[in-house]
Amino acid sequence: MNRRPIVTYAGDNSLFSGLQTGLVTGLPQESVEWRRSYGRPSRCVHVEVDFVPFSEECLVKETPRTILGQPIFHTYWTDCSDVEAYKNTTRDSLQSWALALKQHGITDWMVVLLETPDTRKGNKLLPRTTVLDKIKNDFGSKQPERCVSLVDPLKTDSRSLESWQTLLTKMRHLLMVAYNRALNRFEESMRAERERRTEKSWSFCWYFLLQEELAHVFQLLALYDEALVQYDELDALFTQFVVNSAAGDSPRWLSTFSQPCERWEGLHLTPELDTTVQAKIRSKEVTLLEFRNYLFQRQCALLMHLNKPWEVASRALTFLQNTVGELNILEVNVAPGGVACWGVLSCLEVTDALHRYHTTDAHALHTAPLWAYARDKLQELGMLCGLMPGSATSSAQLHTVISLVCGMGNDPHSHEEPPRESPMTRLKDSLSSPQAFKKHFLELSEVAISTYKHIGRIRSARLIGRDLASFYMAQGEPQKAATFLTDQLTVFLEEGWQLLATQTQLQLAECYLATSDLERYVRTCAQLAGSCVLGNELRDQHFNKMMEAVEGVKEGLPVLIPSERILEVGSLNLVSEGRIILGAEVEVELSVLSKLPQDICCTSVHVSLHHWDDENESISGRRTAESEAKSQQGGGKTQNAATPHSSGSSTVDTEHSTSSTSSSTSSSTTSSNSTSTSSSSSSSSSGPSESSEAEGSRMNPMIQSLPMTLHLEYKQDKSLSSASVTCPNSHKVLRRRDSQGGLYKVDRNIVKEEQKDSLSAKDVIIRPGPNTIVLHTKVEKKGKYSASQVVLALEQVEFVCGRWSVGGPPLTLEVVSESPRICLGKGSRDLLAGVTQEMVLTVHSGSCSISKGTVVKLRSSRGLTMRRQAKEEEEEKEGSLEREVEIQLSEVAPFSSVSSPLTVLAELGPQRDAATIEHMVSISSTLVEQRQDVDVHFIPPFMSSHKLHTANTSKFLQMTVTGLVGHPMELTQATLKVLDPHQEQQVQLKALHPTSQALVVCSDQAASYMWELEVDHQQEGTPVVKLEFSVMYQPQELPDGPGPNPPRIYTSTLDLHDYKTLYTIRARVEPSKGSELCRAGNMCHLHIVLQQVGPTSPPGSRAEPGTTPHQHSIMYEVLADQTMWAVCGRTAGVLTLEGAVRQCVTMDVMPLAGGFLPLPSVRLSKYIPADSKHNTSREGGRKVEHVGSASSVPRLQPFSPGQVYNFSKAQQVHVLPASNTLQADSLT
Amino acid sequence: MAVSGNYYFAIVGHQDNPMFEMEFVPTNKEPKKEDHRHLNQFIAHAALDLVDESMWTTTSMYLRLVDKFNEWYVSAFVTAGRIRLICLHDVKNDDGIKNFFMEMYETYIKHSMNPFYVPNSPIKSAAFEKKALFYGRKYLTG
Repeated sequence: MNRRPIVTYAGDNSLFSGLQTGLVTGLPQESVEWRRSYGRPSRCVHVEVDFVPFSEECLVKETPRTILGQPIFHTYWTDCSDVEAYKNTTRDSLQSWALALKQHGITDWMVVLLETPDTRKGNKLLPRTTVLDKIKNDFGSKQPERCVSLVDPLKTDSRSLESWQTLLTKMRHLLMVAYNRALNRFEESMRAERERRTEKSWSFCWYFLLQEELAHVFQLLALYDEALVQYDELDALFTQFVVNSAAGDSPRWLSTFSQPCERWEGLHLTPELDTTVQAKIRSKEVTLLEFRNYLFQRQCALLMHLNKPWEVASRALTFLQNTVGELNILEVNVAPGGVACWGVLSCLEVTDALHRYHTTDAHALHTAPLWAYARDKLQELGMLCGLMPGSATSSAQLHTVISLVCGMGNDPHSHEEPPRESPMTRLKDSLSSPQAFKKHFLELSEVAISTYKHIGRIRSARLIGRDLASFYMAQGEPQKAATFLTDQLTVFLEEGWQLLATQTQLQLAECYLATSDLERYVRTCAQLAGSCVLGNELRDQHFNKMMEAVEGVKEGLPVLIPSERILEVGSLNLVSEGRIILGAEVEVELSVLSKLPQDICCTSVHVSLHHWDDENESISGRRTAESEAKSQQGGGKTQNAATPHSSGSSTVDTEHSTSSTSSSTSSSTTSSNSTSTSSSSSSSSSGPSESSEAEGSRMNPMIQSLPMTLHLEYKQDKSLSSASVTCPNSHKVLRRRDSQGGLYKVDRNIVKEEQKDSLSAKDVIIRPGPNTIVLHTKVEKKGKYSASQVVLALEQVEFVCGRWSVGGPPLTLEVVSESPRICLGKGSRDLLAGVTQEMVLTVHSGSCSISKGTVVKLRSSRGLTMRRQAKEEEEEKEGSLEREVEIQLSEVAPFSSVSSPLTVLAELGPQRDAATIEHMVSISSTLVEQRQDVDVHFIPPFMSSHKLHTANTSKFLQMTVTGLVGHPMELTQATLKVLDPHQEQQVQLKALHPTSQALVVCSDQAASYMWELEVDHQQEGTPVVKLEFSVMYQPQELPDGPGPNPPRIYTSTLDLHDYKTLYTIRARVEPSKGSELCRAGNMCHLHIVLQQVGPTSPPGSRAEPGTTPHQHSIMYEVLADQTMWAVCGRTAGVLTLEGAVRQCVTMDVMPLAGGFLPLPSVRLSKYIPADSKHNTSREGGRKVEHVGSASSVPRLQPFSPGQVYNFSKAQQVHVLPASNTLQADSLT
Repeated sequence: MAVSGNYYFAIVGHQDNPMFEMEFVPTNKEPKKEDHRHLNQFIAHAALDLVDESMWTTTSMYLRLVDKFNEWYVSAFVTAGRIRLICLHDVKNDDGIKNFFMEMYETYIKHSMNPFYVPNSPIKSAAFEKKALFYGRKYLTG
């Protein structure tokens, strides 16, 4: 049906018919701007018109009840070329035409004059004398533009084409003006009609057709959106009427729509107008369903024109729901199942139509609920017709099917090519048999679920899943049902919807019973028995069911049930006091809140203890705990099922993870991430540790940081206008997320931990409500234990409570075991040798207790003696100092120590330097396995040294005692004696110090003693003299020092060699003859006198008579400082003191500088000639070996310091400067 | 005042956990049996996805109708702290529900300021319940 606006033509009809086709095709070719009244936006439209010959009748109707089929524009065509002819005939005809129009008040007209170029030419001379001018003059007085000329349209030259286009443009314009006028008039009347809607005689159907016509007009003008508005208005109006009728305000016409529906034809989406329904509306026989279908179909057609298929989808559900609502409100009588049929058909029709658009994906958001709706309705039908599984179709139901199929009417798609499965064929097929129904139903369900999942409405998908579960249960496929139900159960538990969880569990219990999955059945029954939302009766019932079922699982492994929500472990408290020592009995109190309706008798209750002994394990444990946590998060919903593997390690992290929880919660202001609701949530919902922080934020979007960037806006002059922080991908971040992660974690897979150690109790009756159970264990390993899993075991059922579900602070035990230690310590000061000192032997008991009389043996190295100090004047007097000591200990409690003081004395031997004296003490006892060696260092309090002094032939021995420690020592009775009694005659000692004197030495203070050595010079040789120095020492009392120390003796032996003076040297410098004083630069004489001391007999014979005298040759060397003295001639020479006791040597020396110059020194050495024999001689008490090879060269042997006495040592001579008088003064 | 119908009201927390539930039935009608309570919950729970979806489409807290399930309408309100107030109703009562939500929002805010109340945990307060009942009677079942 295509009704175009009508344009009449009058005048020369034959002329017009020649042009008609050209006009009909030409007009719509270009768009024309439609200027609209009432401030509506102007639109560009294409006009298409139908031409009809002008007749008076078509103008008769006064009030425009309709707009289509009405002439809206009137044209007059003439080709009168002559003014005369015009005056005679054409004018009259035109006049009567114009009069007829005027009578009807029509102002939309147009006169077209067809001109040939010739006609124009002839009249060129006279202005305003053409026919056109005349016409304009006669008719177009106000609107000359309504009179147009057309130049020879049959020709194709540019001029005629141009005039043709001008005509078309003008015609289009005038047509739109006319159309606008007509529409305005129509709309006005329509509005007036609408205002009358409260009147009793008013009919919606009638008005509907009126406004629909307007919609048609818009549709013809290709203004689909405007057309849609008209339908939407109608829709809203009708809806309002129905809603009002529900409130009791029901107009009479509405009863039409209340008539019973006997047919439930589905929606048929087609762009064509359904004239049959339109006719029904006109005759007011339309049913509500038909009317709604019609209206929606029109709306959809327009939406499709507007290329908005998604809106079709989005409107469809509202349409369906709304219509059903209206059916209810109007109490329309529909045979049962009819509405459902209609719903299914309509849904499928819409989805099919969208499918044709090949953009199903884009509409998924809207189609998902449609699929769900269709599925729902199909299920309704299935139940009605007994097609659901588990019900047999009765004959009455068969009748229903037949009547339903009848009501669907004819398939509108039956004639389509290519033939496809239309909604109706599908529905009919579904209703034909239970098998077919099942197939279609499952198909629909699957589509609905998958579409829901696709758009992220998991919950809606699950709701369908729940429905399907019931279907499968009825179908006898409980396994499939269980899959859907467990899926749901997890979500409900996680989110804490107890009621829903319980409902699901009730269904699950049936499933498990049907599949005879006893383990799960028992578990579910237990959970139901503990459910707080169920009535007592049901709980008791399930408790009994559980107990019955348990009977069936007598064999095999016991059934493990997570104890959450059934038996809640409140806390574990350590009852035992004090430190827990290895092997001790530990007592722990466990509080359990039983939610079961009846008592249960647990054969055993135990808490497994995890033991971790050293740091290494805890570190590696932490690592695995982290990786564990990561994998748990990666797995999404896989909960921290306490697997035996993770069990050990996670414990270590307790503190760690909780701390990170608190940090994460504090960092997020909006997050209320379960701060303290339960320990389980706090520990498991935390994103553990920094490494998995990203994971954690993924889990909880509330703590995810937004990617913010700095945004600077500049003004035109490039100065800063504003600075802001923006989130560039806000639409991505602020998107809704499907799953926010549940609040409560659900342990689905409980694995019993295998731990060696556990706290346990036997045969405990747990009553409903709070219970306290005391558990015992004996710890057999030292280290830390942490409680992990709590297991309450009935005979074949074990309630397992994972570590995270245990309330209260985590229980940790520290079992200690320390072996006894023995140590030997010194007193406050350093230990001194030679004095009795105090040391302390300390015994730490560790974790054992030491019985009385336990013996500790000490054995010291040589030179160190010790003794146990008697306490408080004990019965026995202080024993003597021994190298071996046995100490008997008194009774010692664990973790305490006992000490016993010891007196030790280290021997002080001859001490020539400050080296410490080292000793070792070995400690052995039954308490310690191995012998223990302790190094003890003693510092000598002083040391002694000696020095021999010579004055010509006299000898003096000095003994120096140097203090080494700060502690002062008093020295008395220093004596020196010759050890060998035979030598006492040869060497006589004479003390030069007062013998009774007491001297004190300490670290800054030394004491010296001097003895004169009277040597018998007559005796030949100098045999070694052994002397012994001894002195009594006593530490000076200190106020806080140890008890009185008796004076002890210090002895030191010393050997004296070469203590006799053999030669003396006297040297002097004399000026040369004639001068009195030495003068620099002048030659002087150095006189050296050597004299042998002692017996006059040649010294060669003193030791061994066989030696030859030449062996006593002496070499002298003059060693002068070369800056002061120049020695002339030989500086060295060999003298042989044969026979003679005295020898003189004179040599020339020249002082080089003035002043007091030290004399050149003279050194004497024994000279051993080259050809000396191979022998060993004893000279000066020293053994000199003459090696054969060396004998070819003469050798020198130095004298010992005491053997040569130089009288002139350190003498100086006054030398005058060179220029002065030659006076020299020798200071001899 | 619209026709009085049945209402089911729930407050849902951050982790989709129910924090508060209440049913309102017209005073003249017999209260429904307890057995059907979970059906309302099922619908409310399933509607959470839709609430989350429409939350982003508007800046206002009151989301109006978010879902329709059989005879039930689902209206929702999202607080600034993303606590969701959900109302199931079988009659349209836009204004009443909006007012009810606003009042309940305020009541919730006041309740959450209690330092002893842990945010996002179930609300167990007689005063809160009394308020909810009062506003329910005032705006919903009326």
